[in-house]
Amino acid sequence: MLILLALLLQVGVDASTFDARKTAIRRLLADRDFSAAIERAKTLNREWPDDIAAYQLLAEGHLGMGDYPDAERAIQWMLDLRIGKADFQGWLILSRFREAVGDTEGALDAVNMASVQLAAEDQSRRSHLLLYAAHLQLLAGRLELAERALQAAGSTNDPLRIETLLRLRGAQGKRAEALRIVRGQEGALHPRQLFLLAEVSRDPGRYTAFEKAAREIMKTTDNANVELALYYAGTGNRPSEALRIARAESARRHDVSTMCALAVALFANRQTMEAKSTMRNVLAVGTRHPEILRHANRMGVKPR
Amino acid sequence: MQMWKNTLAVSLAIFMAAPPNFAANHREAPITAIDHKADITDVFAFRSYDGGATPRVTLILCVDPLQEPGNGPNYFPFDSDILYEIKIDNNNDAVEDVVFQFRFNTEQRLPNLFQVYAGVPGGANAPPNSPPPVAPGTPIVPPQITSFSDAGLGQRQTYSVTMVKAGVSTAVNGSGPFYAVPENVGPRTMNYNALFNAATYTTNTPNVKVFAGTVDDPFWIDLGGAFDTFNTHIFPVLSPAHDAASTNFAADFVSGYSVNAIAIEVPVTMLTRTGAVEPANSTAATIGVWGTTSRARLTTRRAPLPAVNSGSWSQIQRMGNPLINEVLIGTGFKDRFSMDQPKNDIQFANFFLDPTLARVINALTAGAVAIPSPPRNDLLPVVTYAPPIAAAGTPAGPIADLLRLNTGVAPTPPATASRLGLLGGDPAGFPNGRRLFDDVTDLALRLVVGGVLAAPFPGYNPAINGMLGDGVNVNDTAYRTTFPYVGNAPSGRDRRHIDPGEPGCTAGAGLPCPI
Repeated sequence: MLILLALLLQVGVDASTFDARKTAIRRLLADRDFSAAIERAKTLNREWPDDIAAYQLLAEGHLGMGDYPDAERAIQWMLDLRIGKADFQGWLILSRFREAVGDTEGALDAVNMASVQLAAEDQSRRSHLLLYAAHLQLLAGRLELAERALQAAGSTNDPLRIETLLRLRGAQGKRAEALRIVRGQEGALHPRQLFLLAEVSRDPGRYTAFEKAAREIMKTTDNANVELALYYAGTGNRPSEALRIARAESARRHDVSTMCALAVALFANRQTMEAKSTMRNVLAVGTRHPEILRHANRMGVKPR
Repeated sequence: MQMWKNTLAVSLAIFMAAPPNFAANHREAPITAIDHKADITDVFAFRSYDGGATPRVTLILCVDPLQEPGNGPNYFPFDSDILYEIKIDNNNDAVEDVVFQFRFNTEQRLPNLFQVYAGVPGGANAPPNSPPPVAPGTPIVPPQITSFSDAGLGQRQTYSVTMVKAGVSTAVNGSGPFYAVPENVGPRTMNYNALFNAATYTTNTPNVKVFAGTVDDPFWIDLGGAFDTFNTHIFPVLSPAHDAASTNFAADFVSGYSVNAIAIEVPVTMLTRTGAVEPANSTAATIGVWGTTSRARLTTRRAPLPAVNSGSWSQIQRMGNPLINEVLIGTGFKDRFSMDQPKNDIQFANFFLDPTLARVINALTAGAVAIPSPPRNDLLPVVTYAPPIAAAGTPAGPIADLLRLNTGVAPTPPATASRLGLLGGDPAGFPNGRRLFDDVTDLALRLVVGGVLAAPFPGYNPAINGMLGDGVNVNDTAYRTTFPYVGNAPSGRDRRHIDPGEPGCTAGAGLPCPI
């Protein structure tokens, strides 16, 4: 105990607040304040480098920020430090990393491993996992498997459910059903989900509702600026505003979605060379997200 | 980007590798507490002192601590899934320039017997009243094991040695296979000494010898006392008589246990960056040594077929100086320390240069043992290339846990060597390298509270700071005087662990502890 006390004094760790600090970082991540989350997670990691939760938080921050090599390093440490003992969250982060770099099958493997970690009664996390599996199957173009995973997830308030449902129904050509699903819930949707709904429905009124909601949160970290830039670069037909928003957002983070939006905005402003170069960099990460590939295809940029 | 996918694809399978082994031993990091086969207990590096015209260095890596020699029927083979390495930095950047790699192969030769080693002198056949279908006279128990080809050596291990230098791998071969010495099961089953003597191999690389096997744990310490929050049986100060004695006044807690040792002897010229034997005052004379154990990142379980390893290696453990991870690195840092590279040790600098251990001793003695103020630059010679180990002018390099050895310092003849190494006026001893008989527990205590590698700090009291120790001064088993220097493993049948309560083992009162 003396040694522990001396150690704590030496490195300045207050063990009683360690968990509280992790919770605070998770809140920052939920708010998409990735840069603040990363800084705090780095401090946590320096103070207690054997704690794998800090690597998980770091990886999540780097994934959100688009620092994929840093995310990989954090995930690799997380894996190496707990040989044979990854937890649910660790597998999920690994899965999301693999999705980001285009390894959808590897991401599904990690989802399977995460499911092994779950207790039978842990229905909430099992549902989330099934929804994520549905999302990955959808990315892989396996609509039937996506549907089965979605059905198995059951009814849940998980935001991933509505997004996956909208995407899946859109891919299935069941737009009416997609609209039926969200009927009465639209007021509770995040602007990012409103954009998805507008895209699925192609309803001008829904685009207007999305634009209004998105502009209200433009200056927050949990914004819909990527979607707003895509909207203005396309249906909204305000290319210069699209580029202004995309540049501002890409100064804050550079994940594949944000950089894709920048490429689309550049292309809409006829800055073709920079647009293609930006898109090539996006594809170089390895992403196989269908919407990104569709934008790349429009620009004539092919994945390697 | 493809590389990431490959790396993490491999990482996925780590969780299928899962080699948990549970045993109680003096493991220093949580991760090796569940993977004791990969746990490094000690690293030794010293100028060979068994004569010969060619200046040579002996490097020893000990793993798998506190093996109970009687713990059959399977005992403690080297792990064929582990890559064992001894690494040498010779240009002061804490990155390996010369690496010796060891891989083991295990062969089961007595699949129908219930234990892996069996033998009696002359063998034992079925007697006249042997029930059918075994006919009288049929060999039942093989003859005593006296060589590696004997039938009773049911579990036989061979190993390969590879030297990696400048990115080029070179096999170090002998005239035949290299066999590892098994556990010393007992005097009926085997002539352990004969096996040990046969297991030192000269190789086709001039002046290079190798050895591997289960041997006596060469370390000694009042382990139980040390981790009872420094409630050692003699604490903190030795009397001059105790300090000077080549005997023990407290029990050696690792007495009667064995470890697995890998030893290689190479010419100094193979290790220095100039390829020459440098004088001690040369800035090219000092090398940094550390050992590592690694496991493959990918293991494919193919039951009923054997598992297959593939992919890159993941380091499980490393060790340079003794007791660094054990008593300096904080519990929340030990795994990261074990798995990280020495060149990144700046992140642990606070543990090296403001050791908690020193503050604990200061507190437990109510200040009677004064300690220097941080930053403890007096400890820099242990974690950088600096005098008095390295020659003046040697680039210090980054802070890194390497066992530094000035290869230009001639070995001290055993008769005049001091267990207190450099602090005892013996220039060829720890912390200038580490010999088997260097009392690193007492040395570490004195270094950590002493400031003795530089000018002693104000408040240093040689009668207190300079006399710290645990009263365990020597090993329970004699070391050999020639390569590989380690001692014979205790007999599994007759082993004994010396206990604190034994006559003489009463914290210095009465006769010395049995050795």
